[in-house]
Amino acid sequence: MAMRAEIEDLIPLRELASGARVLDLGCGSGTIPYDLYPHVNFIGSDCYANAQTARWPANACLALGDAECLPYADGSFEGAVCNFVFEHFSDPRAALRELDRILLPNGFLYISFPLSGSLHDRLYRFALKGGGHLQRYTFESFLAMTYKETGFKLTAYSPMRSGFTWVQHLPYGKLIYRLLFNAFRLWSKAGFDPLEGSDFMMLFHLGDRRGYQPSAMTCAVCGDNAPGQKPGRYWDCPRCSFRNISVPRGA
Amino acid sequence: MVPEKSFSREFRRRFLEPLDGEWFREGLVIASASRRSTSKTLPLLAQKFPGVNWDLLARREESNFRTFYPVRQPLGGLRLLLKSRDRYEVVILFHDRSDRELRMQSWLALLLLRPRRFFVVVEGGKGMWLSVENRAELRDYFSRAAWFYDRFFPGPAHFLRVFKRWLQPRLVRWSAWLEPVVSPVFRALGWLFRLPVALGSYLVRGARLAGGAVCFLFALVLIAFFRLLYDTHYCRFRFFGKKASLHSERKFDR
Repeated sequence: MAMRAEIEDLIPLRELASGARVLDLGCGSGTIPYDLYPHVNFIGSDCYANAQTARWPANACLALGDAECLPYADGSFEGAVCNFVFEHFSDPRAALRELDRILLPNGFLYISFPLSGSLHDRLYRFALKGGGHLQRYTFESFLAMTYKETGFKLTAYSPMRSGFTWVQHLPYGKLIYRLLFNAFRLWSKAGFDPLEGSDFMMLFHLGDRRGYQPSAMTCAVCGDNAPGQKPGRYWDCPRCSFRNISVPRGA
Repeated sequence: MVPEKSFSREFRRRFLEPLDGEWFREGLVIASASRRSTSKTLPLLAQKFPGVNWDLLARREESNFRTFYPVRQPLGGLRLLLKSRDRYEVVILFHDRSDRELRMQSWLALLLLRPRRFFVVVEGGKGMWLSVENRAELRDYFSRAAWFYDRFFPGPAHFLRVFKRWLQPRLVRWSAWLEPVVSPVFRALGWLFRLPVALGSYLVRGARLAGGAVCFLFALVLIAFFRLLYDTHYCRFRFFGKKASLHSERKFDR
């Protein structure tokens, strides 16, 4: 349950009010050292029950469930933490929409994921024959997906070095970990760092408007801006009632 | 005659009086005293030592000498003394206490020239005959002169000053070709000095890269081997059909 310092700096857990609820989506054995934040109620959510969840402190509990269909009411969490889980989701858009739904306005969402094509990700997929990584993300693609599906706005992000903690669970994992550690240490001393920026962590905050909101929609007849229209194939101008054809973003 | 104010009574008594029965043919005058005392004393040499061929080692040329050796650099006199070793039978040294470059000439003359007779004229002080064979007399001379040399003994700073005085006009004279020649030479020397450092850093970097590659490849071989034992259905490693003891299905996630 050890959390790296840069993650702890990014997630605003200390600023939360007492009794705040934070969802740890894809918690595994626990992403956050829950006992460090006794004023926060953590709800860990995962498909499987990890044996170590029995040793969690009193302010954390486990709830088995599917990320694409979270069994929580709208606006029931102040924040959510998704530490290296989004690459495992078969439908990450649905998971994002669910997170968008269950978070309160101005709630935070912490997401970290490995960049596709990085050495870390390639090694993981090679060693564990895919290892459950179903999605491939880049910084831009993940941001575009989040902005398209949800009302989350990016407030902070940081590249991070891969930790290779999963290697320690392989057979002879400590030996392999030491070998990899020394290899990357020697390479970084020689000025070659293949792990730099191989993972990314992002912090989003939920805006007031939910869902995909184009910044401006201009009527082709009267030129009026209609930002409040919902996306669709057509949209009716509220001033002149002209039916405009929606132009896809980026076209 | 020699003015009385300039020399002591002992000096007057013994001044340039050749010893009885001695006759010289070759003589050298090493003059570093002031022009006044030197010019007044030098004409007496012809009277006191008739028939002697005198050479002069001095800064300024004087008349009535066979050869004049100008002292233009600190060690010019020393070179002459080395060349004319065993040539002179008598050496007269006019000694000025302020002339630092010729201060050691009496010592060098005794050591190198080895004349039969050696006369020291200390300006404003003493004059005495010295014989190389008479060790007691030499010892007496050097002990008497100790007070004199103690005050003006040239230390390392003096030699550095002399060296600078010697070097400075040469640098000015040579700067026209020193700058285009010496600066590339020094640049090349600096490059040659930095080359092993750069090569060493490249070697270290290469060794680190190679060591890292060896470690990584070894780890990769181990991972590739254990990959063969990984069961994706159960998300576990199997050793000879047995499951490895793992705690959870998502053990391998970070």
